Amino acid sequence: MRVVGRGVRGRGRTRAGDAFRQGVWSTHRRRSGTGALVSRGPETGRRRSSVIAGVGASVPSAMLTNNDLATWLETDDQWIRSRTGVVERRISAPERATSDLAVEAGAQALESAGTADVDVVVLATTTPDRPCPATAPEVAAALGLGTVPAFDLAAVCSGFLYALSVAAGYIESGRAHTVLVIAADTFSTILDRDDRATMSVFGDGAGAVLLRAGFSNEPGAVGHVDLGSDGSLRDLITVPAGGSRQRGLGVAAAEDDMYFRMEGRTVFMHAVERMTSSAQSVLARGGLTVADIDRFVGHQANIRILRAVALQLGLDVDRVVVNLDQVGNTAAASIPLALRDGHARGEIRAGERVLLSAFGGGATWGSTILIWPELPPQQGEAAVTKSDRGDSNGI
Amino acid sequence: MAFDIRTRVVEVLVDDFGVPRDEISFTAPYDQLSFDSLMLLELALILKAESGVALSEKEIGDAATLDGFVDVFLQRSAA
Repeated sequence: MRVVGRGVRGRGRTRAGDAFRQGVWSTHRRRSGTGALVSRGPETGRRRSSVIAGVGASVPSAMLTNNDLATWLETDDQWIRSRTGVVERRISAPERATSDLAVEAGAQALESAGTADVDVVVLATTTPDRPCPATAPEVAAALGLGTVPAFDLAAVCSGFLYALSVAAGYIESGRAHTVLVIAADTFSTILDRDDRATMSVFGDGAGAVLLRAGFSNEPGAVGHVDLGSDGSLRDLITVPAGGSRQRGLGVAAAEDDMYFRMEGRTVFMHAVERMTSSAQSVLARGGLTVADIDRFVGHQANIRILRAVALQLGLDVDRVVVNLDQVGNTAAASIPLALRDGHARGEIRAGERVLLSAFGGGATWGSTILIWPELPPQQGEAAVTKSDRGDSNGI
Repeated sequence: MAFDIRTRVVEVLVDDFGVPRDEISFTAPYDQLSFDSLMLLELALILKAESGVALSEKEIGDAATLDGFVDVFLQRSAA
């Protein structure tokens, strides 16, 4: 079944890049002064802001295809593709932990930025190496960042946007000059291998951005991050056991409760509603409309959620960046991983206005808008190359 | 109303979801139709984008058939 352009074609929107070529973004494309990584001095009319200085990502080398899953699950490639959009995902080897992916993504972001000057490390993850201690200090140490503050942040699939907001707060308040934001998850460690609904969707991965102090009107500046949560939805996306609510100490948890569970249909409706309203909120706050958006990088939950959000926003589907077909839903990592892949493939170009939006367990959600900065070409291979995917974004 | 809901339901199911036209029944229970679990939700979201009429997941499920779906949609649009 081909599902191109459902319901949102032909609305007369300009294609990505038209506005750019017409000079709308000219103020955003201007290189910042000498090109120095960090601008510390005040400039009239410009607000201190966090600015993306580098981006990185990492996925395991081992691939798990839909056909692989069909060897033990009652499913097939077409069933999974049509319901999720996922074709294959990457799975970590047993000896590899979330921190290994996080270190690789963080190192790539530092290389992209051309600096190892980091004041704070924030790691968004739902699958830390162990319940205690946090994984971020180990990641910071492995990156050679010394004794900088480093902590984990848990907001499930919205984790990157939550971490981005916290990091931006550090920078905007002047408490830090550079913050390394890493989002990494190894969901294969919490999935029930007999649960078709989750096994077919999730994969392992990590993404990272280095934020530096800069100004609100320069390329890479992170705009207001809209965040929200609704704890009444806590059971929609959950691992019931292992925390203080359902201890394992002295009483063995039911095996089923140790796995990740998700109520897909209900999550679908909430995700579409919250991602849409949050995106509309940051658009309104910025005095923008959806026609001003060149690229939409949504949480790569499921192609049908991305398609539905695009429909609700009135966004052309050819502006939606998609890499979930090749990496699946990588939880917190999905947005920075998609940013990095989109950048590596040339789908996200300097000067383009990019809308980010996510929904995750909690429930949590968030959105922000930024102008993509000029970054060096990625040194490493993109998780997904253009030639792997053809020209379609799968929508 | 100018928005013909029954015609539009068939169009979306056939054109967007690839459901064979002769397999669409407005009276058969959902589970006898070749729909996957998200299709009716997506149908409702498409109709919402076009008409402004929003149906909840519960309303969609409780409707049980496409006839019921249309009835709820018409009730909501008249409210």
